[in-house]
Formats: sequence, C-alpha cells, structure tokens
Amino acid sequence: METNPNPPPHFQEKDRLISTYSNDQEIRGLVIEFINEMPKRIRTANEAFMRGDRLRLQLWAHQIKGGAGGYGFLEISNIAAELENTLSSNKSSEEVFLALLKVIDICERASVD
Amino acid sequence: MSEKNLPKVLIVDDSELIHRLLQMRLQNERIQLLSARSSTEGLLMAHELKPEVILLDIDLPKMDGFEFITRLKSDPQTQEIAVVFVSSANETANRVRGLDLGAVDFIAKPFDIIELKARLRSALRNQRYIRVLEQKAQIDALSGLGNKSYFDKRIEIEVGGSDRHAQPLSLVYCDIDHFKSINDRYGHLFGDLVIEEFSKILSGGRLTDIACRWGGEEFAVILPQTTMEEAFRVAEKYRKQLNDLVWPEHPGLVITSSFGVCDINGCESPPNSKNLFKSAENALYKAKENGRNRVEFFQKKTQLSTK
Repeated sequence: METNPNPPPHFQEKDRLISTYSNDQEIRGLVIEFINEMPKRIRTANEAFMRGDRLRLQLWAHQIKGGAGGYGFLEISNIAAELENTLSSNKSSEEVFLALLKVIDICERASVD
Repeated sequence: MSEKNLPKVLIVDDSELIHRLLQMRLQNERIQLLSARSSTEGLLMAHELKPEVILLDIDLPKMDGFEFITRLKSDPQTQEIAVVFVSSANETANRVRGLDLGAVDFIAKPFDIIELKARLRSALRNQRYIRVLEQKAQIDALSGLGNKSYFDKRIEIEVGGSDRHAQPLSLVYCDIDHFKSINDRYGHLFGDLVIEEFSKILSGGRLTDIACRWGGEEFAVILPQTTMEEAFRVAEKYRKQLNDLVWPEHPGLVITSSFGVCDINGCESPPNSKNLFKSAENALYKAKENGRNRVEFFQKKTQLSTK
C-alpha cells in the first residue's frame, strides 16, 4: 500500500522538498520507500557521529550523495556532498556537526506530491 | 528473444539505494540485469556469467572500482567486458583514471536516468559491433571456415578443456594433394572451387568438430572428446569423400587429400597445443611420403598407415 509520507509537524507546507519524480509512476513507489526509510537513515548518521566514526559517516554521506538524486532529490545530493567534503578535508567536529545538521534538515523535508 | 539470450548487464555497487533504483529503472530495457553488492562477488559473477557490460561504482569497501577493473582487465576471460563507471566520485582525476584503466564511459551520480539508459545502450551496441568484427576477423572468406587466427585461439581453449576434464582430444591436419598443379592446369577459379568443396566436406562432419582453414590448401580439424582411433575413422571418411567427388567441369578428374592424425595423449611431450599440432603435421608429412591420398597416425617411433 502506498502511504504518502509527510514531513514532521514542525515543518510547514512551504518547507516540503518535493521529489522531482513524484509523478513518475515507474518509481513513485520507490521514492516513497526512500522517504519512509529516512528516520532510520538519519539515526545511522547520528550514531556514527556520536561514536566519532568519521569514516562511517563519510561513507553514509557518499551514498546519500550518489543515491538521493536518482530519487528526485538533487538538493539532498548536493548538501550530502558538502558533508562528505567536510569529512574528507578533515574539518573540525563542530564543522562536521553543522554540515550533518544541514543534511538531516533537508532529509526530513523530503516528500512527494 | 528469450531472457537467456538478452545481453547481460552487471551492477557492482554496495549501495542498496542504487540497486533498487536501477532494477526499477532498467526493468523494461531488453537486458538481463545482474546484481553484485561487493567487488569480490562482482568479479566472481563477471567470471561465471560473462556480462556484456558492468556498471561499476568506485567507492567500494575492501576493493575499490579501480582495483576491480584492473583485475578484470588482466584476466583473459573477462578483459573483453565493457566497464562503465557510475560514481559520485566524479572529479576529473577519477574520470581520467577510470578511462585510462580501460573503462568505456563514466556516468556521474546522481545520474539522469534517460542519459544512463542511452549510454548503456551505446556501450551494448559497441560490444555487439566488436563481437561481429571479431567473428569476421576469424572467418576465412572463401571457405567460410575458421581461419588460422581462430584455430590458434580455439586449439588453446580445447587443449585446456581436455586437460581440465581429462577428456581425449584429437587433431586432424590435412591438405589437398598436388593442389598447385590443379591451379596451374585448371585455373585458380577451379582451384577455389576445390577449396570450397573440400571445406564443405570438412565442416559436414560431426557438430562438435571444428574445421579451420589453416592457410592455402591446408586445413585443420579439432575433434574434442575424440580418441586417435575415432579421429582416424573421421579423417578416413573425409579422404574418401573428396576422392569420390565428381567434378562436372572436368569429368574423370580425381582429386585426393592426405591426412595426419594425432591425439593429445599420443603427441610429443609435453602434451600441449604446439606439440599436438607439430605431431599431426609430422603424421601428414608421413602420409605424403607414403604416397598421398591416405591417413597416417602420429606415433613417436613407428607410424601405422592404411589406405
């Protein structure tokens, strides 16, 4: 069953990030699955950050960068690329944290029409 | 076209997101899609299933895409497979490195699916052209049989197979007797006809036998899973067929051929493709010395013959 996922209540309508493939029937179901899995994905990233596992977090960012665009979320790909760069250039934990927050923020806004 | 005849495309990527997406996106393409979640699994599948194209990620754990393609290209069994990198590590240095290592294309992630499909179709098309050219380069135009280059490759494969499975393997090496005189006396067009007719005889035997035109009027037939005695009977059949052939252009003309036969266990040591060929060639010389229009076994010390 297709359940249309919605962003958390603290986001307003204007904050929703709509997949460019919302109306692409071939993958609409996959896009919804991608969004539904977002909380788990964010948890994984948070845990890696808390453990100080920068390598794991970098791999996570890399996979989001490569995958999100294919699900119609090019902006998520771009923000994940920033996090990946922050990690690969050995920036401070504070900078990594800020970059991670940006990714989480945009991931939580992911939605379909 | 049944599923198993469709060209195979292997995705090697550790991201489940990418596998899911490509499975769905490429479901209506006329391809057979295979998935590997690690480099090791990918190499095994490439070896076993021989896909036409591999869509390869770069950032793979343990063995990255560059090492993967290096291994793939250094293995004769897999080096012809076309590799298309699909990666978000798309800096110029990575693109250049990937192409220099033998990839045919580089697609950046996140990809536009329309473009990915077009590039995949292009890679598959090129692979098909390469296969056709390869086949053409290995076929002798006049006889339609495999040429010397094909023979050289094929004998290696068959000797390897015979060794692995402990199966017999025989080689028949033969030529048309006095072929130069036939050309001189009846003309080259008739000479070509003789080549064509003899080729038909050699390729009209058992389905598993591999007839090749080695050069000029010389031919070689590889007989897998065949002992020297069986190969002798096959060669004898060929010999008789040419001998009995009626040439309407020149009634009464009899054209004959000579044969040398050897099997992998009876050839000069060590048993390999080179010695198998040399031994069959020696047996052919013996047939010539013993009066032509005959088949000779190769024997290390003494030669047996029949007519």
